[in-house]
Amino acid sequence: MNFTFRNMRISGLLVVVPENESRYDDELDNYNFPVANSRKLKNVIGIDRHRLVSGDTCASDLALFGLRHLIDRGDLLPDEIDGLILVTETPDYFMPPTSNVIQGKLGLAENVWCMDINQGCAGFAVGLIQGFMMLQQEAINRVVLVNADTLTRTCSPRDRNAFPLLGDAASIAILEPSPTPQTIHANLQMDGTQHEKIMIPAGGFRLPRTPATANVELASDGNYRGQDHYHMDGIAVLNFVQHQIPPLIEALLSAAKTLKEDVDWFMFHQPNRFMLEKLADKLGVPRDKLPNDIVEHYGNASSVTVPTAIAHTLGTGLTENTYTMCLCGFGVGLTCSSLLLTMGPLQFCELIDFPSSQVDN
Amino acid sequence: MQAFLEKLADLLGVEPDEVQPESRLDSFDEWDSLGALTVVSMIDEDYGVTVMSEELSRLATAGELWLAVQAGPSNPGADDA
Repeated sequence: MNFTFRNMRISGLLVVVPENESRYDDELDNYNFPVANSRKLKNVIGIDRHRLVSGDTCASDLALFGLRHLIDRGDLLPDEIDGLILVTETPDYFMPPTSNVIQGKLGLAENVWCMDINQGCAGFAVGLIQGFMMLQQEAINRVVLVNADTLTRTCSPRDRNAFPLLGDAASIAILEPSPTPQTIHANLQMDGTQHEKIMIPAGGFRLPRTPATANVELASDGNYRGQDHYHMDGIAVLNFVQHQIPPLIEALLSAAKTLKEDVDWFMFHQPNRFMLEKLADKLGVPRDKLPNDIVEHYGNASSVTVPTAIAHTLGTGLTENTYTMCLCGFGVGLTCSSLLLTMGPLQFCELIDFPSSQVDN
Repeated sequence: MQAFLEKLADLLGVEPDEVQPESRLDSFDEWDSLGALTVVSMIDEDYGVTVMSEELSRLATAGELWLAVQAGPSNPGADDA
């Protein structure tokens, strides 16, 4: 499905990562593989260190810390928020929506439209599409898009296929009307036939958690995990990326009548460096225009990798410059989505640490 | 097939003659889900063939994997390769 949005923009971007960092080199004994083999993967796949929440820190704690940072600094006025979207796979509760929890804790007005979206690695693009749709309403002038996940809490620490690659993080993007004309193009595809390729099998109503689902067993891929744990079929995700992403991007650029050469940055979801190098080659895009070093610095925090890539790569450069950006996410669902837009100069573009002691009960 | 087996050996981190058609893929330390990722990617890049996840789990030996590569695109969506 294709979308166009006129005269809207991202006006500010903040990323929050836990200060607590773990190094792959210190985790090798957790995995059921020879250490030499694990070390080789480090260089091939691109694994090094990742940021993890400690204790029972929730996605909403990271989000609230970032929102208060912006409010305290005067970069976000609570009275001017009309819509609050939270994209997460790790909500505080099944019910109520975690966006309502955040609204209450911030003391936002009662006429704010709060919405949770259950999306993962495509969630920044999906959240932007939803936010821009909200902005089409005359009553809505400012939408706060929050992407936040604590995936490391869902994952078996003895699963080398997932744990060393994952991280926790939150991002806050401010969406508002653009003072200068611009058209944003977007597209979106879903393949629910592959919904089991990335999933947490137990814990919902289809398969409630029991002592049996908590039981950690040796899986056929050599990793230890239980049904309560995050599980990803890495080859299926690679297949999905190989098949779906090049035509998705070609269709987006064709709809926008834009050449690849005219795109300054391809800010894509980051499952690992290896897959992104191959994807850049397949797209015919120079590897240095498609950043791929987020997993080895922070870990893959689901929908937050795209904003993290933007803040980590461009930082305050985006408060001064304007770039044509192609954003793309792909993952759980399976879902893939891409957007072409002009970004910058932003009011703020920053990456901050979440202190380990900060939990908002 | 010899060139394929040598590429496989390189990715699996073993000597070229250690990968034979009858070699079981799961006998190599490197043959885990992340190691398999590099192999599937090499096959896509060098042979234009996409080995799907389900298919890969049915293949036991290096020779069977080579047959799958020769059989060509296993998925209608693989025409971009």
